[in-house]
Amino acid sequence: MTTQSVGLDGQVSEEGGIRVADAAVAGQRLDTDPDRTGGLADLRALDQGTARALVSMTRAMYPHDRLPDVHYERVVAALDEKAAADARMRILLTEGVGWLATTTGRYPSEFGGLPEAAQVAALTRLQETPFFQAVAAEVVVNLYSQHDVWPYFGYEGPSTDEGGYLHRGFDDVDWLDDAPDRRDAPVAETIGDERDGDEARIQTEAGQARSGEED
Amino acid sequence: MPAPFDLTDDSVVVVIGSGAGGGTLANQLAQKGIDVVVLEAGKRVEPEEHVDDEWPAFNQLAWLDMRTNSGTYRLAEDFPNLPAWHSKCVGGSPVHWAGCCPRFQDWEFRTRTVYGEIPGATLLDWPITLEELEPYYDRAEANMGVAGTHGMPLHQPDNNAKVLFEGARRMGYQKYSTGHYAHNSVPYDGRPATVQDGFCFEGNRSRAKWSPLVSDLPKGEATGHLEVRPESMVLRIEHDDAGRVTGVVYADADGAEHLQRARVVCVAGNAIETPRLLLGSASNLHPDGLANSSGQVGRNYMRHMSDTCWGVFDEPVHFYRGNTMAGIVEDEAYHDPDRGFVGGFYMETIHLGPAFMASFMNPHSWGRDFTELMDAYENFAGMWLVGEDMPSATNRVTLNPDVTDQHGLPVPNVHFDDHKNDIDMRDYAADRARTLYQAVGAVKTIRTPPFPASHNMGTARMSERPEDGVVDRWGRAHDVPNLFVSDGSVFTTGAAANPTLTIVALAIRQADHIAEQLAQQAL
Repeated sequence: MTTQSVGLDGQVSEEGGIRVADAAVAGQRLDTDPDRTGGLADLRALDQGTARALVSMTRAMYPHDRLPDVHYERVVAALDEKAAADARMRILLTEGVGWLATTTGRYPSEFGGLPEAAQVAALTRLQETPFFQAVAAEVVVNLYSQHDVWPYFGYEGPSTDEGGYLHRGFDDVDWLDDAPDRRDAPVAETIGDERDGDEARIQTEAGQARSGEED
Repeated sequence: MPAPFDLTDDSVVVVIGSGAGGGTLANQLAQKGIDVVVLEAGKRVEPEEHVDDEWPAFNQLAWLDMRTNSGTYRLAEDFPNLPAWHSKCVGGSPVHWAGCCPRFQDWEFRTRTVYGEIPGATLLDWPITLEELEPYYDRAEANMGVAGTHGMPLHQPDNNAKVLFEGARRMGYQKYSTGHYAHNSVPYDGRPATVQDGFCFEGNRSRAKWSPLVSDLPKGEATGHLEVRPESMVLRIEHDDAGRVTGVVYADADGAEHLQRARVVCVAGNAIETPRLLLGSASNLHPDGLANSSGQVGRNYMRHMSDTCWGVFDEPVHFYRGNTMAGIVEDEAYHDPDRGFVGGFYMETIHLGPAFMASFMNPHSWGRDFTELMDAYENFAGMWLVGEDMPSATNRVTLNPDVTDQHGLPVPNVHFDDHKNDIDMRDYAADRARTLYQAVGAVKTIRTPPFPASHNMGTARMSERPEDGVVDRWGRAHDVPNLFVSDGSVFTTGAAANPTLTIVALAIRQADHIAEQLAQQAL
């Protein structure tokens, strides 16, 4: 079973509490600076090659074809900040990127150019490692907290200061009368409550690997 | 003497915690002219400072002190340091809650009698009945401002509720509505009507949602009989040789320790911190923890049966627009063992923003299976399934001797194993939920494992006999005459209903009792 999981855990602060704050606050600060491109120009702990490989890796882990690289670069910038504050994190990330080379037989800089199936195969071999899980935790908290990724998901975000959604479509769904009854149709289900490994946990009809070219 | 009160003033009632239980109780006492000091571990964050953004709000409001988690339930693996998701701020967990206000049903106070003996469960009938609590439910609803009660109209259904209702209609369900919801549908009690902002879990910038932060505490403070001390973490409760509690030791924001004297102490720190404090207040007189001669302190921890179903549809829902949980189906909240389990459950709308959705939808998941679902976010509807869970002696809060917090105290460990009844109910409920969304056209459904618990109950339970529980029918400790428990810890069993309304009703009832006892010099 996993030794360390994705999400809130494993971020123990000096006070002994959970430090989700780090990632969330980092994401927020970057968002407030529209000129910041992602921060890879001023890395503090990682070298460019490692950072670039991590950008490719984070995209391969959480592929959203519509999202430009800048959003993944911000995640890596946040990892760089953690690496600057904690030598263990720097070593974890640096060595982890080395493992990308081991598992693919290619230089880390070439990782992003590999076929998606090869990227996924390499990542699957690494998914139980603290390296993979540290990166995954950062992506999950940071990427989806960036205010300027929300429009890609159709999410409009903070509302109270706009008068809420009371006059902005809180009840505008209009297709319900025509919605088909699919009780007898095969409907894909993803079950997040199986413990027999990640493969069994995901039961969808979605294709596993496809070319990264489609929009 | 008007607030603020002196540390040496031993005439005050000390209330530990300012949430649904503590905040309500403190105001009710203050309104009767009784001097109250509320010690709240968290900061005072006024609504204007709340943030419509999930992680920043979580970091602003949630209880993030170190905890550990054990047992066979999935949460111990997914969130080993976050067994519960409740608040650390003035106003307590109602600052984070959504607002669902179902009452307990009659038989839910008598589950040992109605369900019979269930192996592995420590069911016990409450020492009180629905009939006794009804007048206090009325007062609680009027105090909070609950849409659908006492003349306040129900909320208009939002997108997520409309999907739920159409699915419910096609399923043949009868009882679906926006539900009793403690969030103003029209202006009430000096607070405005909802703007359907969608950030009930993140505080509430508009003050339309009830919480002690915007209601009870300022009202109590206006009487001059209530002082709220934020950032005051109670470390232990002290008592005299006769066994009466005399005061509490707390740490202020700088870590400096103070002793606040007290005539009466009421503990309302949520069902994890309350037993932790009692256990941590062990003494020669109470070697197993304060008020723990029964051995029941910390046991029977309940968190409600919990499951979540997301439906993915052909067209946009925009389910995040509107109140977070103003949509409920009540048809499954009945007891029928033929379903394969005892007790009932509710279906309630829920939405999360992309940030929380990514963290909670399917922890550990990655790759296109995950991102394709996230890409469909706009077309999601969601419902939370909440039902009665079984109390068990071994589901319990204990002190973890191996891990200490910022005050040097052992952190609480929460141990939980799912009872088979919980699993059977969850599977049944998940199937009903999935079918409901299919009935209205879902092309995919997603089943999300239980969240860190927001409904924490049972760890200082109410019992007729002192050997069966920690407190009596008024919430008074069986072992200590001037010590009360005033939060969800006192729940003998958990029912299917969201617990806040019942916590508030019990606190109002307890305030009447304490005032009467004080007037009679019985405390």
